[in-house]
Amino acid sequence: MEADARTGTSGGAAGRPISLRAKLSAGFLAVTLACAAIAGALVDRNVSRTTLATVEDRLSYEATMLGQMTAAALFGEVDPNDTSLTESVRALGIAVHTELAIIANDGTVVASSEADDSRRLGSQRAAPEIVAARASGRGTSIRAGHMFVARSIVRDGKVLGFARSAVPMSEVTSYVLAVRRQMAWGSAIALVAAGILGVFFSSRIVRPIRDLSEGAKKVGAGNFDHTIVVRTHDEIGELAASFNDMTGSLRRTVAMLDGRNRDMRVVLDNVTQGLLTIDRQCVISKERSAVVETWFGRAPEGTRFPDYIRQGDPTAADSFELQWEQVLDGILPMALLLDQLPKRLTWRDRQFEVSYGAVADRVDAARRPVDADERFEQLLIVITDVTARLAAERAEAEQREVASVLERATRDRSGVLDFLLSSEAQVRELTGGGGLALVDAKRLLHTLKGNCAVFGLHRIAQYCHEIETRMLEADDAMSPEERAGLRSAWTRIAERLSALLGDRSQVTIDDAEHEAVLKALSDGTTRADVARMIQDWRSERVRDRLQRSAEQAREIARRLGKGIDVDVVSDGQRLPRGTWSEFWAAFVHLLRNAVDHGIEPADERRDRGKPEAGRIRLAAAYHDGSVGISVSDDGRGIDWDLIAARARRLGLPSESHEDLVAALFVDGLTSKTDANQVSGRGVGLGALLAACRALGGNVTVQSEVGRGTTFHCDIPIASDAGKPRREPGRSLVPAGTV
Amino acid sequence: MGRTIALGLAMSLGIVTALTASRPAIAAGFVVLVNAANPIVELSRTELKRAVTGGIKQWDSGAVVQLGIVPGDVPETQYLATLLGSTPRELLARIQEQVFKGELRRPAILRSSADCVSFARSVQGAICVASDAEPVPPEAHAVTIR
Repeated sequence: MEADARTGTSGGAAGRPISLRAKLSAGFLAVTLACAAIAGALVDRNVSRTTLATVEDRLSYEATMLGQMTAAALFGEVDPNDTSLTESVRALGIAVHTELAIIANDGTVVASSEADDSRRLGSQRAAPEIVAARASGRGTSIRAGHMFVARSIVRDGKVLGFARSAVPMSEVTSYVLAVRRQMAWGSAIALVAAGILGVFFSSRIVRPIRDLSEGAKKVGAGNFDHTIVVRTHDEIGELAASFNDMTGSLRRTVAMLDGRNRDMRVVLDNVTQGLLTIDRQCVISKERSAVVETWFGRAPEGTRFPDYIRQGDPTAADSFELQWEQVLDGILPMALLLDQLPKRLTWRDRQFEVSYGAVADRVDAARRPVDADERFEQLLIVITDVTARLAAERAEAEQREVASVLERATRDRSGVLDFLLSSEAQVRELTGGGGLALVDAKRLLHTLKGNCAVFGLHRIAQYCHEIETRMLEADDAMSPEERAGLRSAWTRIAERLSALLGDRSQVTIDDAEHEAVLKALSDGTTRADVARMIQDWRSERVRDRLQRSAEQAREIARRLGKGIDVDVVSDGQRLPRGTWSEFWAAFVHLLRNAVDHGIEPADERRDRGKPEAGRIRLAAAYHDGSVGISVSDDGRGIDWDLIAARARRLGLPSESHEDLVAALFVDGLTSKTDANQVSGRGVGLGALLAACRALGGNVTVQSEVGRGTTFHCDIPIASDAGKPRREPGRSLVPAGTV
Repeated sequence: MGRTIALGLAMSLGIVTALTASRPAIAAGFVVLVNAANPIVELSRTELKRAVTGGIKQWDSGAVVQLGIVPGDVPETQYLATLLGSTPRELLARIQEQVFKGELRRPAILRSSADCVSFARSVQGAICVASDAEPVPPEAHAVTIR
């Protein structure tokens, strides 16, 4: 049953409160009544018995005296016909208020104090008292409403007759009743006296207790200065003194706690971390650091933590709700459960880190952390605003990436500029909202991711990877938020790079090209030809592009922990920048596939008897109005059985080798089981094929298991733009298509 | 006349008969004995009755009056009852009543005149009735009843 917190009585004592004074008075009365009842019962029992004994003694004495008097008077046995003593016996009986009789041996009553003619009483020979007296000299009986006591009259050893005395039992009863009546009166007087004494003494007892009660109420109301005046020197006085001591102690304790609370409030009001606790129902406690409400607004009493944060971060709120159920279940270790609660919280433009600590017991002053298998009562939540820190980390990361790109620009300025230009175009296309098809968006995003990763812009690559993952999972286009985010991230870093790299419209020539122009002028070459030579300078040399790609391949290999050697073979042809930018952007997928898919890890290569460092060959050659650009590796080759299985899973034709080759370029087919930032989506080859076809070309592949793979892009050129200017071209890869 | 005489005779006979039946004849030949130490020599019938029924507790000599009597309807008791104007039964009942009341010392129970003589000799306050045929010893003497 739950205790009544205010009265301290059990719920079963519901109803009007009964005062202690009334209880004590009632107690006095009850004890007195009980004593009177017990005493009355005992006395009543003794009175009845004693009265009977007393009456019997009296009758016995009187019978004895009557017998002695009669014995003295008689000359022999009691004569049944002798009535000489009748008057004397009657007078004596009246004098002693007793019924006296003299009875002859034959039972005849010869004299009786009650009967004028005693013979009418009949024979008393069989009367019990006479029978007993005849046998033992004395007999007593209670019969016919009387008590009879008979004595034998004996002289010289001879029984002369019997003397008998008697009283009506009504006299005995009336005596007992009189005693009972007196006892009743005495009990009534005792009860009245007990009631008066009870009221008197209970008032004396209750008054200091009432003072104590009033004092306790005042102390309970917060008046710790209240002191109870001690009037008595008994236990209640000691209690009052102890109460005053306790009040003083409470006053000191409260003052100390107030001080500590002020100190704690100062700490909570000024600490830069959000500190709060929640109970098992997720309700936020009242005490929390002030900065919490500064960040997230006021939290009314009874607010649940997930509801509190839901307005700013519904995802975190839902995650918390979901995980909290498991925390309450407590099946897993507490540390593991707490680790699964959301650690990040977003509120408008601010980022927060959240950590948790379970607290064992609310009343435990130490508030110690929860041990294993212990039920926790509260959860301490520590919220830290990491917006500035994250911004600093982001700025630092951006700075590192910008520095990396700049360092690369010192070696390959035009390559970096091309990367920026092509990526700018890709970002613009991705974020422009121009109705880009989903497959094209995926390819473009994949290409952007790969190029950013190659050029060291890992944060953008990571962002692209996240968008790409979501798009694949949801089979949906980029969301407006993702487009805005990508645009913002790219613009921020692109603007910094553009400012540092300066004018992008520069033409780079080497000494040979410079000397060739001079020589043409001195040789009398026509001005039109010289002008065309100079115009060609705005085109890009394929060798430079491949050298740049080789560098990218090495960078990819370094990130993947692989060692490779890259050979570049080119006959010095140039290609126009703008129309080929999309191709070169997609070309990076061949590099990444070669390094990631093709080249085996060092130990695997060693087991196969290959050099630990893989070999990749990048080649370009002009041939019959087209440029052939190929990427070859000496890796594991394409597992056609695996490709066939994946093709069948995607519902693609897989009966012929041509079917499998065609499947390689279908989006979503990959030989890898998981994707990373380098490759594995099955999108890159599709993007490359699309870029080639956009230039009117095609892609072929030649692969041998265990020996390596060659991808060959054959792209026609409209004029002699792709012709080698100085170096004779040579074919890199046979034109055969696998 | 004759009937009147007869009635008169009858009435006279009845009166005589009635008198003889209610008052026993006083037999001669009995004396009242007391102890020789008792100086009393004569008693009136009233004094005798008082002595016998407890009216007199002491003799002039100071001795306590102690009655001796033969219970029953015997000549000695008849003589005493006659002296006192009652029957032996009435006398004995009267004595019993007085003894019961404590007015009279319990009488000595005698069986014969000889016992009376012995009683009178041995008890200073004794008083009893004996046949005059019994010799009176010096320790006792007869009292004259007036």
